[in-house]
Amino acid sequence: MSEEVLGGLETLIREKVIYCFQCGSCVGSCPTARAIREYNPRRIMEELILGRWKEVLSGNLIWLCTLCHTCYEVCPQGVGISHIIVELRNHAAKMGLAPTEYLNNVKQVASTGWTSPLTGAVQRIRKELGLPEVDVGRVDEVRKLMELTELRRMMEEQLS
Amino acid sequence: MRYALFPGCMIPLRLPHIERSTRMALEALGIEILDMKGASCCGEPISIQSLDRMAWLTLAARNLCIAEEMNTDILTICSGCYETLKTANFSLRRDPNLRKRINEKLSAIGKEFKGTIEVRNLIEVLRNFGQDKVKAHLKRPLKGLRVATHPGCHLLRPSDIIQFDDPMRPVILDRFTELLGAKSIQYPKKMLCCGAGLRLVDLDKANKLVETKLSLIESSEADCIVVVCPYCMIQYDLTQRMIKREGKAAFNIPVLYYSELLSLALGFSPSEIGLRFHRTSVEPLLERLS
Ligand code: SF4
Ligand code: SF4
Repeated sequence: MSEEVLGGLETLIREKVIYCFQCGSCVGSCPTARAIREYNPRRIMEELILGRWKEVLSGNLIWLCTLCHTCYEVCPQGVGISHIIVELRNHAAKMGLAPTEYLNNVKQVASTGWTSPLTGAVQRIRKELGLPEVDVGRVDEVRKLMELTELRRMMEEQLS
Repeated sequence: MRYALFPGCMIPLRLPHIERSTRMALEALGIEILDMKGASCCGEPISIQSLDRMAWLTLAARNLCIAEEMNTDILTICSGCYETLKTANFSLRRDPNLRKRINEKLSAIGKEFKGTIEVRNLIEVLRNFGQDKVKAHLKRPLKGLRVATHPGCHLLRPSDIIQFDDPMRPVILDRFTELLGAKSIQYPKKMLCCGAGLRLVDLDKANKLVETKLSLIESSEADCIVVVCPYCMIQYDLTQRMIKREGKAAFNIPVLYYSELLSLALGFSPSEIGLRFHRTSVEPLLERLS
């Protein structure tokens, strides 16, 4: 685990996760926990507090959250689980552990500026509905900005 | 009143009929819509935010800059875009450090975030326009229609940033549904997420969530479901057809985006607004209205 990731995790735990008193309100309201038995946001916080960071980052559980932010609203301690999940994912992604489906989305945005391809069928339907053509005007700007962020490295690794 | 329309990816490229009804309804009300030249994906709240939050905010800020140059508030019709653009606008205004870092990146493309415009959702735009004024335009109030609203997650949460409605007991979408003459019915687990955020990594489990919701809505005897987000739309509309094909369950609940319901009440015909492009038939609803 890189120094950078480790430092980031330590700060995250010290400033936010540590306030979790394990009440379980987040689990009770969590849609993913309802659909997937193994998923439990309270337990993810517990694991972090116990120092089992590596397991949390390399496991697939953190990628199952829908980011619905229900836990964010119901937590009596203001831990902000959904935002913590995002930070954990960002760290895992830096370590090359992001799901391919997510990286594919990035590739798509880099190629047309949008997350879905501009198919002939869609263009026909838009015309039939009297809608203007889809703007793919400044994808160069999008790509340039992506290159100035972590996404650049993730995409290069993915391609190599 | 005028707004810069930010339609996002999903609606223009996968559900263009929603864009159609939105444009028609707003035009009928006299709300002016401007297109945002050079806009791109909002920044993408699930995949890109999860990979690199900084990249997410930077891409969002570029879109905000376009509206700032137009000196116009943004109207987003996707709750994912709403969360993204609103979070970026909020965070960059509040955090000078973050703003500096992102403006450094934006300078590479000759842009600068200034924080001069607001980001609105469709219901918010109608509320600002005036409930009574919307009502005065209705030509065919939807009398007797039983509607199950699904406000969804990112129209409401995280509430300290979104600041639109109560994050767990929202009322505004229901109020605007009833404004059209329909009845907004209550059903259990109304605030449960549709599961769209899971589609990319676990389609089966995403479908399991929406199945739960569909069966609760079915038992409440709703004539249709109303959503305000294209991801929720796909979850309810497309998944219903998928699970039917797989022979798992057979729901027949029409799903409408709010602008479609509004357009019907404004007197537009189903063919004008492209209701034929729905994956789950809207016929039962149209029969109910005739
Ligand atoms: S609701 Fe908050 S305090 Fe309770 S277990 Fe979840 S994160 Fe911890
Ligand atoms: S944001 Fe994630 S962890 Fe929190 S309630 Fe929603 S799915 Fe569960």
